[in-house]
Amino acid sequence: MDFKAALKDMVDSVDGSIGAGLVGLDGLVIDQVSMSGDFDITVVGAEYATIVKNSSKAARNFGLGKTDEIMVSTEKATMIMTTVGEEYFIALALGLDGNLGRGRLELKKQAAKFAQALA
Amino acid sequence: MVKEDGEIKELGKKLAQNPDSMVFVQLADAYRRAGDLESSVETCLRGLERHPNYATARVILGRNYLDLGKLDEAGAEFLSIEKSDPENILAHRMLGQIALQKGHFAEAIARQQRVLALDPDDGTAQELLQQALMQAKQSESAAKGAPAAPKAPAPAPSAPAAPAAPKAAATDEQSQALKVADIYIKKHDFEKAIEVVREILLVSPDHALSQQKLKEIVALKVAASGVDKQLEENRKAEEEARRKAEEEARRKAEEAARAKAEEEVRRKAEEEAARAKAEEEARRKAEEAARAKAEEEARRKAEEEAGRAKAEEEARRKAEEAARAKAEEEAHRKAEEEILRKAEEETRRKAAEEAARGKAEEESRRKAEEEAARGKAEEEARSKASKAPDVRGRGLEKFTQDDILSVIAGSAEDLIGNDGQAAPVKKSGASPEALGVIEAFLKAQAIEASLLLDAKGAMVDCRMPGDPAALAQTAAAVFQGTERAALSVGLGGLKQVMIMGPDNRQILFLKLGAGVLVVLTGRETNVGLLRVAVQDLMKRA
Repeated sequence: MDFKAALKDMVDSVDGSIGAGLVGLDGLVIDQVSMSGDFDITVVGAEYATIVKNSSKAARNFGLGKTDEIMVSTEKATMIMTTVGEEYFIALALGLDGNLGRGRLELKKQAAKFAQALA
Repeated sequence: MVKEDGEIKELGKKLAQNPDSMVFVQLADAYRRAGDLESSVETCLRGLERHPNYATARVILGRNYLDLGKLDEAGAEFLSIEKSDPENILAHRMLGQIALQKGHFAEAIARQQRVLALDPDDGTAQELLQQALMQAKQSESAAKGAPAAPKAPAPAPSAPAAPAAPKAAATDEQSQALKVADIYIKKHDFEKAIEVVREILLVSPDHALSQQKLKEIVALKVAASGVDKQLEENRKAEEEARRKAEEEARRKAEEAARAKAEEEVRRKAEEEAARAKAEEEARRKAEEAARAKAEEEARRKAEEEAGRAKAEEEARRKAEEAARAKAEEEAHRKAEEEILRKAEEETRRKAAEEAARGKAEEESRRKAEEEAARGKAEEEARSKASKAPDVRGRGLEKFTQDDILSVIAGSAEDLIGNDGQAAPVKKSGASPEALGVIEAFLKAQAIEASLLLDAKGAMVDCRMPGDPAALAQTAAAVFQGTERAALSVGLGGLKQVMIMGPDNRQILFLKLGAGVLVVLTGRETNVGLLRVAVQDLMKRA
């Protein structure tokens, strides 16, 4: 599977996307696509991996159970992350005017494909 | 004579134009007929230098020598002819005549016999043979001293020769006539010579000299006739040869011309074929180029068509996606509007309830203020007497609404104190409406559990099962780590973190002022309403 092409398809199909990446939970970025120079997940892949891991831990501790999706809203963007199997996650960054619903839908679809490819 | 002069000039002109030509024989003959024997000899000699084997020229030359009395030179020429043509009758006859004039009777007899052997009907040879025999007999008789027969005249020379001693004395007139005959003989006009001699004989039939002259003339005529015949034959042969040569030359020229014409035709045909081939090749190449161009054009058009179709397909796909996205967005927007409408309706309903409840609370607050004023002294005394108990772990219900509002507004330190000790709760003076919103959020969203942290991540309130300190640590790690990552990647300050789990349950980390409110939604929580409420709460905070 061409991860970069798949990420590109996802970014292209969601209005307001500014980038996407496939990251291992160890923090290493496998592939990424950026529509803006401001977005470079390679730099903070490890920290986002930590967020995902801490979020999963929080979900367990707070009695939520399994983590399906993490959404981080900031002053400039919204980052949606979803796990792919046990070792990876996909992150999709949207601008403030991004289509959040479409982004979640595409992320879920691509996650299933990535999980199959990485299994 | 005039005719001969013209002929000589004409032939001389031809010979001058082409010295190698055989026309010198005709010129020599013309000179001879004109009586110019010296010129004839000279012409023959010059011509024979170029054509030494030309027998006719040698015959004329021999005759000239004979007429000039040069018997040895004449004999040499006829011997030369005999050498190249042993059966040449003329050569034998002339050699016989020369031998007779020299008095070589045996040779003369042998030569004439040889002629008769070759041509038994040759009358001249018969006559000369008789003459030779007779003279030989006379010579023999004279040598023996016996009375000789009447002396025969010497053989007539080709040139006027001195007559032998005539038996009868000639008159002056007869002698004069004979000289005239000699002149005619010299001019080869034998008929006239014969006529002159016959006139003498008519007068004097027994005139021996005239009789002898007549025989000589007849012999000369016969000889001349043979020479002329030979000359004519040679001339005809030469003419035939020349004609054949000319015919051959013409034929060759025609063949050459024909060959040249054929060559030219062939060359033209080849050129035409080459040109046609080149044109065919050029046409073929042009057709191929045109075909290639057409194919290229067709391929290009097909590619353009395919590209256009692909672009149209892409545009159509994008348009469909855009339409779908727009529809989804519209649906989403409508859903949000519906949620907002419901939320506003709910808010209005709750506000009405709050308004009713507000009066009671106002009364309570008034009583509380009185109570506070009354208990102020006691509070001050307590704070001075002992440290305040740790507020961490206390339930949210143990704080007043103003306490919570203070935390949200960033005054958690005032609440907790820099030293971690409980500080006196400051009254924020928040409006009853703001307090109502917070209280409504906390109580109305079907939230299963909540957690309130201050700016440092310290626990302010915990309504979750489990170890409050561990929960606070986990929550702080998530929020602070996420905020750090967001800032690092340039996404700006963190506003909220939402962790979605199964069964539509979520954990929300909301940044309210300097604090963080962590809530765990329940299965019955209306997420749409919750989002609206969160936005409203954050706006108010």
